[in-house]
Amino acid sequence: MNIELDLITACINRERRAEYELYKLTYSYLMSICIRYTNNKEEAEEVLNTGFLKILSNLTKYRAETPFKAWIRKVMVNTLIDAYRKEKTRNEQIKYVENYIETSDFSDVNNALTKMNTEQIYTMIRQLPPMSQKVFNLYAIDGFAHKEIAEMLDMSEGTSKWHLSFSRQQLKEMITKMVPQKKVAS
Amino acid sequence: MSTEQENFDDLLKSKLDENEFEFNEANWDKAETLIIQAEKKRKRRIIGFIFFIGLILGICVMIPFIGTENDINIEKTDFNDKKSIKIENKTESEVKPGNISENNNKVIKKGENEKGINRNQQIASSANKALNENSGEEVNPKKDKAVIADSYPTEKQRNNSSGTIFTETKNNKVAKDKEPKGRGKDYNGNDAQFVAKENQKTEIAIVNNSKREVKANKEMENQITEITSVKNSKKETETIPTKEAKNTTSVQNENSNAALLVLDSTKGVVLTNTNPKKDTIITKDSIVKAKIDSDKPIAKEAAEIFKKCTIFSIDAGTTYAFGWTNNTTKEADGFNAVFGLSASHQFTKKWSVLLGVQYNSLAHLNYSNYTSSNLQYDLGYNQTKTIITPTILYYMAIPIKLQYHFNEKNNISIGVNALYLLNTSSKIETYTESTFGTPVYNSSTKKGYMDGFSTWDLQPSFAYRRRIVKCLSINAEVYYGLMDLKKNGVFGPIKSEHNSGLKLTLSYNFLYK
Repeated sequence: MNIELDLITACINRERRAEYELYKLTYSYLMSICIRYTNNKEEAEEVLNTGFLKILSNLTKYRAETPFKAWIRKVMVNTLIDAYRKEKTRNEQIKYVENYIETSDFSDVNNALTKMNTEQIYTMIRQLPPMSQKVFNLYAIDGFAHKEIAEMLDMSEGTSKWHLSFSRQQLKEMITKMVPQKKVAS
Repeated sequence: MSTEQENFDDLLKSKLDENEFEFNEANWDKAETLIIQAEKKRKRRIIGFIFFIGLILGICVMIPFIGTENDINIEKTDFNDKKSIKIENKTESEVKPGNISENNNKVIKKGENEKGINRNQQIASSANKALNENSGEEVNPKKDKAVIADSYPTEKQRNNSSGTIFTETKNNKVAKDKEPKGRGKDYNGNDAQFVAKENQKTEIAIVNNSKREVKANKEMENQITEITSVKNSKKETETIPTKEAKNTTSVQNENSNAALLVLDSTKGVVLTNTNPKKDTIITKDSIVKAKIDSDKPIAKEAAEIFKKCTIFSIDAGTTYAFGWTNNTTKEADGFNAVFGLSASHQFTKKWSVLLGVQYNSLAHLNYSNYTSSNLQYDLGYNQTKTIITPTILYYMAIPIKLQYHFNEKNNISIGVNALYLLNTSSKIETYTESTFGTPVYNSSTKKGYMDGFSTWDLQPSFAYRRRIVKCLSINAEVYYGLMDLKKNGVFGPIKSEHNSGLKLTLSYNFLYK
């Protein structure tokens, strides 16, 4: 994805053609983010459009020093979190967990993971509980710190860490379940 | 965090980054629709902002023109622009020599002078009658207010080309005989003259009546000014003698031919004039301290000029709700329609009350109120998620306002709008997902989900109204909702949602009562 500054300027000037070009160039990248946070492709596309609208309306705030890819990722993640907040119930949100257990035995899992395709990974992530899914995506893939995640999702850092650990554990279990099946199948 | 965990994350990330999504042209169409809608919304906001600024500027421009009229300025005499005696809610007015001039007299038709003479003859006879009644008797000052009134054109005035009637009171022989203090002077005219007197007080009530009918007591209510001139008492009358005459009082009437003398046992002599603004006393070569009997006639007059009325109006316009923020998302802000009926009852010249009924709405709600999730495990799982998002609240509003009128065109008001929640419109979204089937999404709009909303709302308001033409007014209002629209117990977050904003309506006055 190579976005030129001229294209961004044209988008700021509300040129529809430029907006279309930007959409086309960023579609795959934005979709890869959205698909991880949502349950299906349709939902992901809906949030992608909302996020893209936010990107367009905030383009004037973009500074050339920042990588455009990182900037649109942040905008899109914020959009996804907002969408999640809108539909979540309060009970889901309040879950304070201070104690968590980290599992360290990932050597076998990593080997198995290399053999998996992307679609399988998406399916696994989607099977995680919603809050754990968000925390895992934010921390492990999008690179947010626990402090930022805690602010975003209105929880404590400890809770965020617990969700991350829980997600890893769940994924590990899922992978270990899937790998023998593959072996059997092969 | 262990290296294996880090590797797990990195591996997962790289795997996900490998994936490429094919561009979906159809999705761009949806995105384009969103972009167009956003642009329209932005334009509407800009227009609304410009309109609001224009309104504020308009009000600022109009402020200097508000309240310049002095409504209760009762001019008792204005038939002469320059040298008239004005009585403005004063109990007493002094007529100084500088204000008195024969030239002050207004022009009336020549032919009317003759009528005036005849009239004065009548006056004279009435006066003589009164005099006879009083002669040789001790006058009861409480009951019989003896009268001095002389209304007769002098020779000079008769020849006056302007045709002005100038009436003059001079010493009267009869009066002089009867008058203990001897202050009265004879009148050298031919016709009407008399002096009525009283031991201490002599009262002259002078009112014009163009109809020339003497109905003194009844017509007192018809914008009467009663002026008491104390003539024969040194205590109450100040006169400055001149070379020509002392204690002369001239009564000048603009519209009528002559003053009309009425003897009334309680009120004294009353000269009536249908035009309340045309009465005066002008002294010639003397100062007469005219004493208004009391404030009541003037107050009564002022009250009677204003007529209580009720105006019924049809109101229609728009409100701009400021909305509130829900988890960084702005909600309920934007324009809504408002229309209704109102009745304004003006009970004094300055004050009125307004009562109305309006249909009001609050749209642009977007925060999900209810989310229910149903997960069933059978062979696999079946999950149904229902999200109910109220989008519009419908209210019946009852505005009650107290209005202060600067003048006929401008008024401000303060009051309260009582709002009753009639209904809501909600968006119902259902996601159904199962292990073996494809996810299904349904969306529909339904009314009636009113749980979790306050039934009543109270909005203190401040408004400015300006009449554009006789039957059309523009009304700008700012209001603040006191009640929390959403019950926090139901929605969880402790947050107050107040319905505040601006209202701009046009009122068509269709009925006056």
